[in-house]
Amino acid sequence: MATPLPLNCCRQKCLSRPFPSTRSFSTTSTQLALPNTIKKAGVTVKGQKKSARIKSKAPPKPSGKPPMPGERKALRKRIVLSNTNALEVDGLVDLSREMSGSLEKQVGKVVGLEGATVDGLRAVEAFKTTQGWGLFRRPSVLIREESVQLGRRMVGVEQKKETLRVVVDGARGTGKSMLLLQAMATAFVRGWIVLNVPEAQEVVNAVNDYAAIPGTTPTLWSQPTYTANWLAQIAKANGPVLNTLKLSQKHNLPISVPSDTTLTRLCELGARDSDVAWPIFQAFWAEITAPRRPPILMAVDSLSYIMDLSQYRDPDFNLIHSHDLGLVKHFTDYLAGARTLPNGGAFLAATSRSHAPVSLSVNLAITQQVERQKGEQLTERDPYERKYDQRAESSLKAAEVLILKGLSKVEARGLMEYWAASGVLRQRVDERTVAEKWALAGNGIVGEIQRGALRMRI
Amino acid sequence: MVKIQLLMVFILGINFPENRLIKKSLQTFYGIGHQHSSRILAKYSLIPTQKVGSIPAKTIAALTAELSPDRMTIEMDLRRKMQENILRLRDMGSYRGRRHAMGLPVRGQRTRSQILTSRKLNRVDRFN
Amino acid sequence: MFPSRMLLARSVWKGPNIVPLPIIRVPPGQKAPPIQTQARSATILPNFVGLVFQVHNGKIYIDVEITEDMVGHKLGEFSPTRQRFSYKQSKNK
Repeated sequence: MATPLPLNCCRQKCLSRPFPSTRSFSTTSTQLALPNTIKKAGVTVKGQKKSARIKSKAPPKPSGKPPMPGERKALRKRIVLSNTNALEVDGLVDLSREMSGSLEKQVGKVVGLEGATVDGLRAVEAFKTTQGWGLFRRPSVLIREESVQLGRRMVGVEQKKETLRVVVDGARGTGKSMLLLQAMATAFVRGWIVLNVPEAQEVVNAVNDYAAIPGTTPTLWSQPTYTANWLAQIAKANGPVLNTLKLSQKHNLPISVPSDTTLTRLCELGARDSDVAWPIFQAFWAEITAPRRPPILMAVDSLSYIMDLSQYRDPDFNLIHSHDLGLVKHFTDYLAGARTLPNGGAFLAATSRSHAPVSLSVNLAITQQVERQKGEQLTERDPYERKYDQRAESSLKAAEVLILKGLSKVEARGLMEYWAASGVLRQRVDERTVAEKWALAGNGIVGEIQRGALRMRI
Repeated sequence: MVKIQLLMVFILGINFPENRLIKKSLQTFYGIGHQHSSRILAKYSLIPTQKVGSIPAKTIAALTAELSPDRMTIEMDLRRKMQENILRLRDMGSYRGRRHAMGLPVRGQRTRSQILTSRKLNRVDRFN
Repeated sequence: MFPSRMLLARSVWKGPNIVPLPIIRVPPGQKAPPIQTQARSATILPNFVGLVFQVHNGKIYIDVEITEDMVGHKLGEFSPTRQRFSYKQSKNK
């Protein structure tokens, strides 16, 4: 807008002033300043329409090139695992095979993850953008009481060839996803095969194509593209293990596969063509559950998504239940105990308390399971509530529940000492600071401790 | 399955760019809106965000068959049907037919003000 | 498109509005006398086809010959109650 003429100026003065050649955007001030006589003198052009409409400015031209398709998503999902400005922490031991079964001595300490483990974890998308990996020199995890329990159980099922089924629950920011990551790290160092669904939402929210699996009653649905991508992820993450394993059985596959194919190659074949991804996944599964194969870890984050109706629709326009999706059913069969892993292994699921839908059935099943574990009387369904899902409840009956709470003060102190040693926490870590941060973070909710200590520096 | 490599995809003789959503493409036909397009997608197991270019040729053919006159009444057939209905009302001399012919509201709305929509739409040879 | 719209007008359980009308059956070949009625809301039934009704419009009775198309409509739909507006120039202004 051009500079408006001063409102309080004397009219004579204004007249004497040379009139600006360009009219200002708003005519209000000029009209106020100008005497009406000018109008009478015939300044207004004939035929010019007088309109109160304000012309809208042309929108600002975007400068620079717009981002390519997928570029912004890549930026959003980018995981930075290293910060060269952070200090190297002295005496940081890496998580190793020997250590993973007996972590008792490490409680309250931070252990590093070695390169191969990090590669595997990155391939299965176990790292999340919200976990603050970019603050530290290299990825490392805090060993807490629950990690010890879980590690011990995993080693136990590996030796006894049993199936461990655990649902990890807890308030927001208590480290549920991080515990899954630790379990996956343990699995990688112990040479397990790791299958991870980093975000269950993507399986059910109808963004990947789907197709009915022929010859199934009730109809099951496969997700070719998702399965293909997943197979690629499995091949990449478990390459070192799968490269040593070869086909041992005959499979009825739509494509011809040579009999001495490694399992990595099998996965890659499935990843290449989405149309055969689902049969190949089943062949792959038959292979890794054959005798003398390594144990398997299956992990799912944001459990409640796969415990309700999915967003997919069947030909009659009804919503398909998540458990009718082939991939989800594969998981829930193991979760419900309908199938077991012959070489031992674990099925871990974490709930999400930040962005997942509230599933009454999951909440109820978890409450009941906790009560069952404690030997208390079971909570009944709320009779005034209708949104329960029988299939979800029955699939969760066989699973153990591990409730995560805040860290103990010892663990919190270990974590903060690690931060201080990395140079990201510029405070003295003593009894008082630890107690203060611990209390402010809702009695040691680890996500809140991190927020209070690292993000909100006042 | 053969994926279509062309830049344009024909559905019922109409050309659609392959980066267009199939749902929106179906909705360009007169007589197909949100409901019908959603149901057609569900019938052929297509996700709501499916692009035209990523649909196999077989499904495209099935979609075209789905929109054919013996399965659905759309486009000119639907327009003709609607005109016939109005003409029938007019021919038998009913109140509704008369209001259509006069270009006035048919269902008892007031005519004191705001009958622009009626003037535009309520006619014996109605087209849209 | 919307089969329910017809049903929304009136509850299904009531059925059509059947009004006892003084219909005189005459042997075929003879012309039936017109039936005078004020029941504008009576539904036209299939057996009315071919008859002539005189339907009251509030002032006079208007002749309506029932055709096959009209079945299901009401008698009143065919007897307009309002005069068409026409501008009359008045001299004494």
